[in-house]
Amino acid sequence: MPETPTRAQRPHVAKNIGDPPRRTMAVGHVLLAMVVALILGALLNAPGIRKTALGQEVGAKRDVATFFAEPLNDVSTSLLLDRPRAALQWAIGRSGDDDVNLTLPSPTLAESAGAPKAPPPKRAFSPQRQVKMYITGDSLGITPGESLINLALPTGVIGLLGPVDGHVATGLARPEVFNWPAYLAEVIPPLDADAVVLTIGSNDDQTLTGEGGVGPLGSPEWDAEYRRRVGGLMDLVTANAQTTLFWVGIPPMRNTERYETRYRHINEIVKSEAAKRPRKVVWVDTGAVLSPFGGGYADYLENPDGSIVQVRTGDGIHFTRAGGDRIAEAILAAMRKTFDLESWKRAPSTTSTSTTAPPPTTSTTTADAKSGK
Amino acid sequence: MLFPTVTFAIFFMIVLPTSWILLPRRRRWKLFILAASYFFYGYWNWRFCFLIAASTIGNQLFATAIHRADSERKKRLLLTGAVVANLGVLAYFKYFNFFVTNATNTLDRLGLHISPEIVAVTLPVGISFFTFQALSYVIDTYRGTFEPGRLIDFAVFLSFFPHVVAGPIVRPAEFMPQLKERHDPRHVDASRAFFLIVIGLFKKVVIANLLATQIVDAVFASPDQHSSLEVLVAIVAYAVQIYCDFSGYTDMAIGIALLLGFRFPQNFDSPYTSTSIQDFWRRWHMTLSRWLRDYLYVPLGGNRSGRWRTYRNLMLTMVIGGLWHGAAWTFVVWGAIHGTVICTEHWRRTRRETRGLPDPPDTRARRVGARLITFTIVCFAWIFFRSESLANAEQMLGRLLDPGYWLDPAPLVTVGVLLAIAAGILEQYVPREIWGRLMARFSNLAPVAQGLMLGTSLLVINTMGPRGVAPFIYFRF
Repeated sequence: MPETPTRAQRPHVAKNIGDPPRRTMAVGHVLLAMVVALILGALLNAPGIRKTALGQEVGAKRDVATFFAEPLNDVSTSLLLDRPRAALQWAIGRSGDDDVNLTLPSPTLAESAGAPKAPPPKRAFSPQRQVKMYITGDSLGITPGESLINLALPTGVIGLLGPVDGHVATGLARPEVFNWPAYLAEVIPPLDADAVVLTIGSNDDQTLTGEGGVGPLGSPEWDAEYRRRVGGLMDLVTANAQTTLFWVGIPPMRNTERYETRYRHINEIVKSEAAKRPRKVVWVDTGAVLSPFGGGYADYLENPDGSIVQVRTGDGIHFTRAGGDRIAEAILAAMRKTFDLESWKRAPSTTSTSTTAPPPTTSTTTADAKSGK
Repeated sequence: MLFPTVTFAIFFMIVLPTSWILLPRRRRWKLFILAASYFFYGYWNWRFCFLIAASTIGNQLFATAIHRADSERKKRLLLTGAVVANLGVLAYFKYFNFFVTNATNTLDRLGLHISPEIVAVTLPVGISFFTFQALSYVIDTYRGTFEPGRLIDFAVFLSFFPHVVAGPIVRPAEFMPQLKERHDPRHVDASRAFFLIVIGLFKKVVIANLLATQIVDAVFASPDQHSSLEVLVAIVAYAVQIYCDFSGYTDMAIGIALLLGFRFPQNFDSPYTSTSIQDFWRRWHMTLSRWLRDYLYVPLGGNRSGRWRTYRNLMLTMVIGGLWHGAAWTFVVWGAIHGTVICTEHWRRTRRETRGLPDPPDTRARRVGARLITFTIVCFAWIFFRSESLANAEQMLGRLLDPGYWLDPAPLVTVGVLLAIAAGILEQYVPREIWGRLMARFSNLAPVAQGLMLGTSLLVINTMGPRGVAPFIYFRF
């Protein structure tokens, strides 16, 4: 009978059936390899790590993350270890991915105060001259945006300028995470859009960082700075005279307290800024379409045919397809109020943009602003 | 907590050495790893730690009672209680709203209008996985193939962080004996672990995330706004995305467990090289397939009670397997498609055998044809799996089959998307020996050299992947 080898005599190998033998490692060596990998990986990816660290929620976690990420980035830059990443980004067409731009524009509106002027005449569109629509926003804008595409395109009078341009976990509070004004300043001018549908705000209930950054939420300084950012973005998007911005409001959340104390406040700021720009900005109220009795939060709602349908996902924040459909209907209704999307049916020969009477009530914005603010 | 994050890297760099330091002192090690696993699980939502704790205690009580029961009747009664309790919890979190809304809407169509108060239930991450593992524990005890261990051992088995949220579905007999083994800290199979982690990261962060963001999500959301070519590529892209997403996660899970000194069963074996749907299920989510076979198909009677009962059992197993993924008719249809094709394959094989015909010759052309047909069927079924509703799936198919949209522009079909699809499929055709040889060569490198190679891989993965980490698809199952 062959002798069983002792532990010391056994070869230090691991093997799966059919595989050549592999050398095993002592735990200390495993840790050494991992530490080397993580240090090298961190240095090579330092610009991305810095951006991720800056994007953390303001607080101790972010402070700690940036405490390490900033010097790491300095070391990486001085050793030129950031170059391979930059080269790779350039090769795949993503140069500038790690840039952090903290500049935020102020409003350029001259007539910012006072009561809204008379609403503008409706611009008429037709299948020959469609509304050129661009949909963008944070995660709350994605599902409704997709629904809006499905709902608007069959009208034949609304055309798309691309798929929904969603940027998850972004807003106006944290330009280092994603600088919306800088992004839209680049994206929007060449689009020559008639309608920009924008959904942001649900990630903004926090300290404002970047140029003019202040905290905490709810203080007069915060309100003033957030108002500046909202107004600046509105003016930037609507710099082209033919562009109308449809700013989609934040609906009630399952966390009622958070909605009442934070999101309602953000909605009020956006609504009032929209009211100052009646010719350019339309605020779309999403609360009414997602609330069971015109107010409050609901996971499920009743359809007109009596069947029930889930409108919110399990997190109590985002929307199911049915919820997205309801918001899309509200956006489309706002567009119908703002634009003339019907007259071409009566006069099919219309081929160019024109204006028709009577003037609209400019959706909920004007009315609400008149009564509330 | 997600594997491909800095948070997890920090967590693991603490857990790994501490685990090996404590391993010789078993009791301390178990308490430590249990705490680490609960921290990992609770990082997402700490409230659900109570759920997993309750599942642990409840199933341990059932298993112990079954083991001690002196009569078969008593054992069966206890087993029934355990199955009902486990499936009851699963049904509440996963299927309650599905049943209530379907029941309400059916009654509404019949003229009985009721308005129940329904709230969307938050689905605890990984509930299907740990519930199935807990059921294995109780059922194996009932069958006498496994003796229940101590509560702490079972708690570690159920919550062990590498597999708790998305598998692989490990059997108690595979894991719990490892708790008693002596783990030698001088011999860790690190090269395989590192390979699995890096490949898993690449599949998830680069391929799956890129395909999801560049084509799949947009096309499935609005099929009518895309050309037929985009729809076709999106379907194939989803096949690759879900493979890379799920197999990437399990690769990482297996690798992380290996570094801690534990072995998990294989969960994927190049599924898109399958030559039949039966073959596919031997290669796709293998731990779920064998769970369904051993705890559902076989108890239903398997293939022991005649041809029609076999077909019934196959269909039931596949449809329930579909429903396991989620409460939606799309998953039922997905399971039914697989069940129907498996039954057809079974019928053809039986017919050939009864006629005494030989197996068809195993030629290269035949294999290629069989692979193409199988992949096409799998992709067809994925349409239902991915779609939000049956109407959405119908839209996808309508657009795909409408010849009027084949010449439309396809801006989402980019070189990057096609390369990612090719990479996800070709990876499965790389001969196993090549991976084996690469791992063996890698294992011969010094630890620092290995670290340098891994660090460079992190550069490629982090730079090429889209910013942010999308949750794993199977987290919601």
